[in-house]
Amino acid sequence: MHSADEEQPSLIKASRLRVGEVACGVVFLALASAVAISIGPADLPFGGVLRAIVARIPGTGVRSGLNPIDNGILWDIRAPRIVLGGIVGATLAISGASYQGVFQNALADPYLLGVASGAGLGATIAIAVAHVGLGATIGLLPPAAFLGAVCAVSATYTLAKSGRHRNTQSLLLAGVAIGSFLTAIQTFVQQRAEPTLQQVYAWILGGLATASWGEVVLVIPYVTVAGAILLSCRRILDVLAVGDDEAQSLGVNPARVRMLVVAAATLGTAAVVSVSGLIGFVGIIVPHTIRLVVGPSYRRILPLSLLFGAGFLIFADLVARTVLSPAEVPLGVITAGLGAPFFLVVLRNAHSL
Amino acid sequence: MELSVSYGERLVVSAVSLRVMPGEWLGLIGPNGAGKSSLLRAVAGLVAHRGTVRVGLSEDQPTRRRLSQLVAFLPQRPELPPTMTVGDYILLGRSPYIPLFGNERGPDHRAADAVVTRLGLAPFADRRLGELSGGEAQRVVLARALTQGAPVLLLDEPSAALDLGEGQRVLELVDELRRERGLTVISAMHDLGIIGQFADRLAVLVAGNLTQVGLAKEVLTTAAIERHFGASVQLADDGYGGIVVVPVRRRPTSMSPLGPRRDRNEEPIY
Repeated sequence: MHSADEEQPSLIKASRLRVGEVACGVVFLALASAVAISIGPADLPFGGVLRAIVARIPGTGVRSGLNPIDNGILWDIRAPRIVLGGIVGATLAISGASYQGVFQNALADPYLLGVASGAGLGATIAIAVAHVGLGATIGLLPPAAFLGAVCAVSATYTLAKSGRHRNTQSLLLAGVAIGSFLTAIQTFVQQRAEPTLQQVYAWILGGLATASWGEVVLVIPYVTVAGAILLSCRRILDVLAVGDDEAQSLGVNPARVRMLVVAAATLGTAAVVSVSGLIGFVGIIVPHTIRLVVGPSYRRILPLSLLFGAGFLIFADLVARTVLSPAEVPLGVITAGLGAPFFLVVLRNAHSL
Repeated sequence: MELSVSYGERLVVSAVSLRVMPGEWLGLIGPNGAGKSSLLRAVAGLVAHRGTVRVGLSEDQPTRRRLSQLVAFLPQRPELPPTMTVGDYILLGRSPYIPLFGNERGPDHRAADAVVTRLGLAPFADRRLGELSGGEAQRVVLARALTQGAPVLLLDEPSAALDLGEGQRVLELVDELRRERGLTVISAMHDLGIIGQFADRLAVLVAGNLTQVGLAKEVLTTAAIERHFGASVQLADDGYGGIVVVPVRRRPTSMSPLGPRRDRNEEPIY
């Protein structure tokens, strides 16, 4: 008689990522990319775009269906912008979801511990003081913003550790304190350097106008590491749902997990903020919407946030560059415009929070 | 175990020295604020304490993971995320055996399934925690603790939030499981009425000090209860060696037991 153990399905179906959900995410992302790649000040024929992409793959013998100018637009302007948009959206969404997991708060976003103000200050100093132009994409601007973000979060942690009570609340309060302080300095610097005010403001509002393959290559190492760590932490985030005390009694060290997740999320967020400015709401809207649909398990929320976050930002960027074409609306304005009604809807359905 | 617990400046439990036998049910009793919960939490490794807690013949200071494989703790007010499913919640009990970045495997699922079957929770597996009644929720929390596979079970006020019947059933279930699996149970309860029927030994904690340890019938005397709890009770033997504590109110001396009223020289009402 064969053992019944292997054959019998488990009585408990643990929350697992479903193939259907992943497929939806992939389709959404593909759709967003396909639409975004074709539409713009110069509309590219979709068939031609497909042939051009296939032509790049060595050995297919297919030739691009686009003329040289369109080819240039495709590969030097559109493609990097879409790829970067996807990376930024995916990273912000998964970072936001991770923050929501470690702080057990559905409204936490990746800017919570000072990332935004730190990056903003770094960028402001780079632009206003070092006179780095916005066009110098691989210049001082991204490293300055990145450094600012990382320093801000480190300062938050140091400040929180010095307090009498070491818990989540003190961490969040420290984040508010550091954030306010750095924003104050940033505003001061902005006011003093009036000629660069518009440039700084444009950066802060966020956008992908200067996207290039250089920027993509710049952020890839950081977002890959961050994404890998965060995805590995999915199960642990679910354990934290029962609170720090009970998680401890189950063998988990909540403070250490929190630090690991915050470090990884900060790494990814700082990297994308350094090339795209401060794009808000993605880190809240996308994970929260996914949670409303698939439930509270981070084993499903994190991977889906990657896919839907990428697609969402690509779509938002499409709107940003077409709605007032040929001018561009800052991406942060679009996401904020989507964010306000989102929060209203959440407020109305508060019982499901 | 031998330990003391302080919250900041306040010494909450001082120099408690206790030996708990394997397979025994030790009831921690004492008035509110005596430090029973603090003592349990110290044993579970959740609060800083001075002294040592030794479980079995193991090494002195087990890692957090190892401790959670040896000791399962049921808090007084467990955190039950309302949207989490019962199945997911019970599987959390396997966390001590899963590496940080790992997932549940065959043995974990089998362990959880065995507990689910034993406690009759199979029909509840897909329900959300927010939909459960008090008694059902307590069974689910117990299931999670059992899934930990730990030989020691710490219960902090397991029946406090339940009605009379539910509370009794939970304790009866714990006793059955204890005998089946050879578990060692330490429970902190302020309800004296029932603990005398379940615990093998009782330890009395008053203002952080261990005043008495012994069999139920040694510890539960009307005089001791009056002294430590300020309560007036009568005791009954349940026929199995257990002591039932029955609170009986004090009456003013001018009152006499129920019956025709003779003391005031009045005509009977009937």
